[in-house]
Amino acid sequence: MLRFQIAGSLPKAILAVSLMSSLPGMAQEQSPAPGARAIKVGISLPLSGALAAYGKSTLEGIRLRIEQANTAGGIQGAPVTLIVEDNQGDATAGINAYNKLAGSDKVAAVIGPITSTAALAVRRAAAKQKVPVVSPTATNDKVTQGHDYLFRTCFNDSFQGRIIASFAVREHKQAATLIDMNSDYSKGLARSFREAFTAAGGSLVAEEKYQQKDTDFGVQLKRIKDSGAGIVFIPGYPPELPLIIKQAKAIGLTARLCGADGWDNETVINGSGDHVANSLLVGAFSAEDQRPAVQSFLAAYQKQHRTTPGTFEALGYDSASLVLAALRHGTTPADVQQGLAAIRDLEAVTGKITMRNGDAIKSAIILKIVKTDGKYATKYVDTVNP
Amino acid sequence: MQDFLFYLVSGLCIGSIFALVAVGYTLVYGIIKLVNFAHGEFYMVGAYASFGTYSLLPSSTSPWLAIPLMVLAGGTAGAAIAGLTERVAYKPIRRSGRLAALLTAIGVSFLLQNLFAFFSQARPLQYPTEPHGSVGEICQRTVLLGTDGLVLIRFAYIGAAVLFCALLWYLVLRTRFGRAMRAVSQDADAATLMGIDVDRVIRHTFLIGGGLAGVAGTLIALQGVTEPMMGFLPGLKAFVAAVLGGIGNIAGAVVGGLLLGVIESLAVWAGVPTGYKDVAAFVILILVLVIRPQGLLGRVTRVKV
Repeated sequence: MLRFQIAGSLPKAILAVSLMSSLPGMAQEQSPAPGARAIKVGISLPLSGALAAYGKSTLEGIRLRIEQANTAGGIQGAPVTLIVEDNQGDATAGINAYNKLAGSDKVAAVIGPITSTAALAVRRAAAKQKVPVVSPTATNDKVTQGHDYLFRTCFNDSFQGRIIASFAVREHKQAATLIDMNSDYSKGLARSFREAFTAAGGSLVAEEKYQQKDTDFGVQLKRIKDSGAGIVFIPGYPPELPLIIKQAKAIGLTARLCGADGWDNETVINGSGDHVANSLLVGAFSAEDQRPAVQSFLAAYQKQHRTTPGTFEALGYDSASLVLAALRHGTTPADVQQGLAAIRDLEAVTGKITMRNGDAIKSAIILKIVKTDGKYATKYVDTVNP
Repeated sequence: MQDFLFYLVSGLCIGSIFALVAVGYTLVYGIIKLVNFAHGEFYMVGAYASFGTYSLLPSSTSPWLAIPLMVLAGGTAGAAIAGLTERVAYKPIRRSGRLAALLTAIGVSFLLQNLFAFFSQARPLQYPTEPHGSVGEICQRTVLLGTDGLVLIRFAYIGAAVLFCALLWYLVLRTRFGRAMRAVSQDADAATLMGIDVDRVIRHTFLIGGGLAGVAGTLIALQGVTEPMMGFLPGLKAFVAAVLGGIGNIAGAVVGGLLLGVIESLAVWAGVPTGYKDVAAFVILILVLVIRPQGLLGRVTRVKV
């Protein structure tokens, strides 16, 4: 669901990331004031429209990381500023946002878009402008394939689908999938799940599809129920996902439900009724993880927001970490592109990240939804290494 | 047989919602020849109003009182936003041609969607399904049809469609106001000459259509989610239903809505992959329009050149 884009066609001397809120008096233009030139990083996220909640969550994570970096002295004394564009979660608006950030704002790198569909759309512009794109959450395999300027912080669909399939097949040999046919994320995940599940000796007995914004999934769920599947893999996200889970209960579907990172948010976990219990999902990080990178992120976020961060905040935070690490190599888009490609064993919230062909290679976590103290929460089950 | 019944009832339930929304489309089209693309947003506003009412009611309120109040609030809000839209956006440009009105309708649709996205932070709202006996829990209760559960509240969709369509039928065919509506729909200028207050008829038509959309939105949101873009797809489907039945014809809108819901559902029963259930419905629409361009119950209007 998340994507990372980098574009670069800018004069190499100008790499300015500016964080508006934390840098009083720091001009947003690339005025080459000696000593403390702000380094600009572009942000292209859905801040309005149906995906606005995800865009805002991601932005909170990015802001936190950049503020921390600036408080610690920025990049060799130069502060980092953010230039934020709202891409409305739309592929065309995403291309326009990227072209503006890369072409006229002359940013060093662009974080976003977050959806696979929008990240796929921005690849051509990135190849032209040569400003690297870092997508926090675009999991579709093709986002980074053969595109030197696209990077992602999340793991890809093949990896996610494979992991959940390897767990699911141990419980039941017959699975069904329920796919959002308007989403490259959902289709890509379903494909990798199907391949891995059948390769592991299971069979796929139903493959049903729905449209984004549907409110009635009765006929799809009825088909799945009649297929005899013991596992139902639903690579979706809100607002459809909570409805699907509630309606699965209503129709009397008792198969084990499985999902991917689109499940790991409050709307799904505590908004889908009691049928979410015991569902398995792939998560990017777990708050139970005791690594210092995770615990310090949780502490810093909770201090600022008084709420617990989710997957999007964590991947936004890590995307900013990746860009900051790359900026230490140099501040032109070309430098950042090389810096991103060279990242090895970076201790991040969502794992120890090594970049390979634009993909963040790191471990994934299997989570199970359980009820504790009257509320549903994810519980750590296992870590799967790439 | 039991499977067939399940698909048929599912189709009738969702078709009733399409019918309620389609009636509003067709009423407005019948009166001022405007395809009101903001109609789906009246549905969304209704859902938000009922959620707001739910939040304001004390938690001790009996759900059997709360649900009718919420439906009432949803209908009232749908009517209010439709009336406001007509007054602010459509009335000033009524003489500017149909393209201007159509574009304004699309603009109103985007405006309302984004206003609600802004104020709601775009987070989908749901009625909590706990504790037992709360509104959210009651709206998830099911009845068994053989071995398959059907959510009970969906039968209220059919009930609402029957009730409101009967009221509308009475209003249009048996009251003075209904006669005025029919007169304006036939010829607005002649109706003015006959002493009919055309502005008032148009305003009230919007109120009725918006109210029905608001009720439909409330009913869907009771077991679903309330979110800013929720009106888009039902709005589109209802428009298709209205065209299928013959746009401008009230009975046609009801028939079109029910048919659309049932065809989508029975297509799956007949073995069409679920990804293509809408395609099945649209193929039927195209066939109907090829054979009867005026829609199932529409009347042929000859344009003299």
